[in-house]
Amino acid sequence: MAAQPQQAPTDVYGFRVELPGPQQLIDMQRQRTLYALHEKSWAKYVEKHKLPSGSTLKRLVREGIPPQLRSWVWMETSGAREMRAAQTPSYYSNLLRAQALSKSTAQVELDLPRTFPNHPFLAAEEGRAAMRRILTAYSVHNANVGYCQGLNFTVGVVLVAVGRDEEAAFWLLAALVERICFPGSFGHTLSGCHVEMRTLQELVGEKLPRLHAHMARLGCDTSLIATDWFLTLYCSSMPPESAARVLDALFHEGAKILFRVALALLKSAEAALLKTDNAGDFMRVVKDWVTHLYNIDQLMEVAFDGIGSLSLATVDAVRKHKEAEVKEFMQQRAQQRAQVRTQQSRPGT
Amino acid sequence: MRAAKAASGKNKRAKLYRIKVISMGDNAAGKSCLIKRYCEEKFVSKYIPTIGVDYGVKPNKYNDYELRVNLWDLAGGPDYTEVRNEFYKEAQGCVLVYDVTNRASFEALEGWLEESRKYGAENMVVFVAATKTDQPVRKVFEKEGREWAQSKGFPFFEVSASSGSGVKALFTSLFARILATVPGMPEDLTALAVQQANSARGEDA
Repeated sequence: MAAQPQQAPTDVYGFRVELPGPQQLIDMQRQRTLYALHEKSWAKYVEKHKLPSGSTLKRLVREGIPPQLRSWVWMETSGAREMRAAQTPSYYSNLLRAQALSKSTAQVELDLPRTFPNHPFLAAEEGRAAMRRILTAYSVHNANVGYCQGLNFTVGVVLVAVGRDEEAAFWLLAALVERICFPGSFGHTLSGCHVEMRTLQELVGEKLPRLHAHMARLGCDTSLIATDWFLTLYCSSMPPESAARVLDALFHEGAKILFRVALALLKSAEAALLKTDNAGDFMRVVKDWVTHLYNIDQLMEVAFDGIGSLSLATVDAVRKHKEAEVKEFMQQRAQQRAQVRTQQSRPGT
Repeated sequence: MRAAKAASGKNKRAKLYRIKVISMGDNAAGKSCLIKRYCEEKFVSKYIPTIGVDYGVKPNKYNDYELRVNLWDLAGGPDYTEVRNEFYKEAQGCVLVYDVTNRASFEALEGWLEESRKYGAENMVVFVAATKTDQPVRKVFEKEGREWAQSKGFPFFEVSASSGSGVKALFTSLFARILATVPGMPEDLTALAVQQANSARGEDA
């Protein structure tokens, strides 16, 4: 065999892979074998260009959508295709023409060079321009959200996963923000994200009580470890190819998947986490584990079968309770700010 | 400040103390790179935006003492106010960061102080760090930064996470100042920290 030049290993989407040990390489190769198997299961649906129904769809999606089918399946399961069809065909290009209305240009510009700076497409001018267009168009389309730091990572992964189809990526982003994730998650106060963090904390208490007690002892709030999980939908936290597996289920089953995955991550690392003795180390153990998570199949198995039942109704009930808490907390903060302002404007102080 | 459990060193028990330091400053000002540079002694030019909070730790040995500094690296994005505010109360020190190639990040410093004070960081030791000083294009002169910091009574350091210049001097001086202000710290530990800071500043000079 001819000697091959040494190249940094990449995943199916061209993201550089950091392999701290041989196990991760094995995990990645196993993943490839699984894709080939899954392609066979999907073949007849591809041929008819019709998704399987009900429980078959759920099972196949949970097993992982083969990379080249993601664009099609995601658009269907997320509702993005419907959202696109509800607008005029020129809607996206009109948004691009209205870019001057965006109030987020400066923030987007700061983040673009820092979004997957090692990816051959996303770090090149072409990829950056595409992400710039999607994010600014979105900030015009949904001025309430504008641009939320974190969405850049999601857009990067989605754009590459849908074969660089910019408009599809735009609508998938819209579906995530407007239909799938908890309202307010990406708004200017991130109030929805705070609700999700508190909800997760409660669910950790139910599903992993020992870990919950340990976290309470260390003063390690879930927001320390999970903010990026919920704001980038794991796209900056996990290897992107693994995050795409989470997106498969997220688009189809909704935001409860974010909790299932979060609980699975914590459960799988529980033994190591229980040994930490301060919040910083806890956070570092979690981050190291999630950053190098290539055996996504095993994790998703835990997410679906290893944490017991977790219905949307359960999640919603906790959310409702937490939403009231967050609202009160935000009001207190606003009052506190107003008080400081009055004190500052008082003459002689 | 509580003295945590004594950790065992090489045949000798080092007394362990912990302090908490946070970073503040605009999005993309270079907070994470600065902290990474200090904790891991390496520079990552392709660093990604911090979403929420990141964490760095660096153990410092001073003879019989170990000082463990927990560096909480807070996202600078405008949406993250409520994520950050929990950290202000408990922090004993802060690196207030601006980027010399971005004038807006310098002009935002006042706003950062205001935010931290609103959320209870009144007794925090603040050091100002001007980053990216290795870059050819400069929008904020050293004199301006120094004068602003002086007007507030904050020590000022020009640093480059890329070359490492000023980084050690900044952090060791900050730790020394924190040790001197936090009640209950052993005097000899503070003295050792001051010595270390002096020698770090000497290396840079």
